[in-house]
Amino acid sequence: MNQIGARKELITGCVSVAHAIRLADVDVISAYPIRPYTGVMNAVAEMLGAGSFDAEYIVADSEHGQFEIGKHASMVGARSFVGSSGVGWAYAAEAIIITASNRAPVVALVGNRALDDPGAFGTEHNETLMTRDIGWMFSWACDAQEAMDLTLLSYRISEDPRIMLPSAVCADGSFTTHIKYPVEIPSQEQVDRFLPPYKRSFVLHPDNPITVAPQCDDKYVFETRKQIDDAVRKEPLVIEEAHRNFSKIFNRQHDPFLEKYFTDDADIIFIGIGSMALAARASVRELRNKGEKVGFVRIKRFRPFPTEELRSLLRERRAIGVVDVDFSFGSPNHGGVLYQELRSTLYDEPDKPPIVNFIAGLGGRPITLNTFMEIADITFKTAEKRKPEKDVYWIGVRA
Amino acid sequence: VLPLLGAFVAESSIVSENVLRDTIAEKYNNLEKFTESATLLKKIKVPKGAGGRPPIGPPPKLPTASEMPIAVVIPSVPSQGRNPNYKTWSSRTYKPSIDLDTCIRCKTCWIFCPDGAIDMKGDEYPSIDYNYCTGCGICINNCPVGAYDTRLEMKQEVLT
Repeated sequence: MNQIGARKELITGCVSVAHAIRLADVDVISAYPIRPYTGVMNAVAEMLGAGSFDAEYIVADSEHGQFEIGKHASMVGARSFVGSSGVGWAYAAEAIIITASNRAPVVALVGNRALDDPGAFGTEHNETLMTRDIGWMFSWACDAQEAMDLTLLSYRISEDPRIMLPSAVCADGSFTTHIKYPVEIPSQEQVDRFLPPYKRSFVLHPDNPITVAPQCDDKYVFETRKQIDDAVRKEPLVIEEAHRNFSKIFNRQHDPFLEKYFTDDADIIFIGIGSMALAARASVRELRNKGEKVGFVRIKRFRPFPTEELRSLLRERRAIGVVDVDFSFGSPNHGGVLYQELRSTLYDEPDKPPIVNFIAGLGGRPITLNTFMEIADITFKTAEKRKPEKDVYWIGVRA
Repeated sequence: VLPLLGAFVAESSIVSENVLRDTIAEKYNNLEKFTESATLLKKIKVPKGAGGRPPIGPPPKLPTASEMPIAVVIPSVPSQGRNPNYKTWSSRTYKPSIDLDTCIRCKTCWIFCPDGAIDMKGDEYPSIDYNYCTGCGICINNCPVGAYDTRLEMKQEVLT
């Protein structure tokens, strides 16, 4: 019944996010080109040109200006959208940080791209992960459909009066942003039922002058951090609520935090983020055909980190293989960022499984079925010996 | 020393006057000077607190994280008012002053003051609210008749 007015199209992740922006009736779109995010900017411009919807479309002078515009638009009560990739996200970092501390529920698309140098367009998750601690929510899409759904969900969650914090929808450069998938585009009526209008309690307006985020001393800074911490602790509840409501209206099921693929009876679990799920699922099916009890968990939200969900899912498994499309040079064991988070998550578990880390797919090198077979071999050996022979393996690198 | 000690006892409550009186009578056998200044000071009404300033009360109660509006939103200061919680004088090293005989009440300083620290109502002479004057000197530079003067407020002494 809910599907009336919805239609299915073969579109890329960027175009599907543009459809989400159109359906969410975003008021201000601030843009500055950098691949692969540019795909969204182009698609939105086309839609505006064709008169599909009405919005203020501002091309900024740089990513820094772009994110400032998005934040300010949000402060005057406009629903706003921004986005970037790689070094663009890094250049906007100052504006990104204050978007969170000013409690502006902006939604951004991050087309994950390797940080320069050397200049590359391929996927790496480092640009997103370096802003993980500042109060933004990060969700990761693995296909075009999910990119659209997460964009709609992000507006609902971010603008919730209990939260009022920005969200980033992350999509792996080219794999998710530029590959076409069949996407169900919901009707305007469905989205209107799901997404209430954006209301802000402290709107910047000449009729009621206020100062937002002035220079203040230690008497107040500490408390503002606590305020964000309090809001972030409420996020899981709001996220679950939004997902329940989403599945009712759009008739699509989404686990809010984790994609669990054959995990019920799995001894060995691989964990990753983003578009690698396609290769991971294929390898899990192949290994299951050979009689191996393996499963795959895709982390859909990095912030808030699904700590409890992962603890209950991973305890008492025989081994965990964490696949990172990022690096954290000089970190404990020289592992990736996700690896560190998972080890910290499982620290208090009495029966914690051995964890082995794989750095793979850097610079957009495809993570294929063969990559996963290599990862599986090492994880099986880790399970047999009950501890990893080496903590971190760089897979698919000429070393 | 003895008159000073008498004054000290009268002012503070650290040592009881009687204890000191006994000790002095025993050791020096000269209570006259001590009693004189102690009695004299008791007659002068000195408010409590350092330097005769009114007593410092408990620190102001600051709002908790849940009481504060998010994103440090503060309502604007009403027109013609100044923020009582945020005074900006502490960065001042040079203090401007106005020579009212020279001043032509042209309002130039009132317009240029970046901190809005100058009051000037109607035809009145300008007056500086030193709680908010940062000592930037813009008023001095812009005064068309040179009515502003400045002097070093804080002197730094280099120890050698």
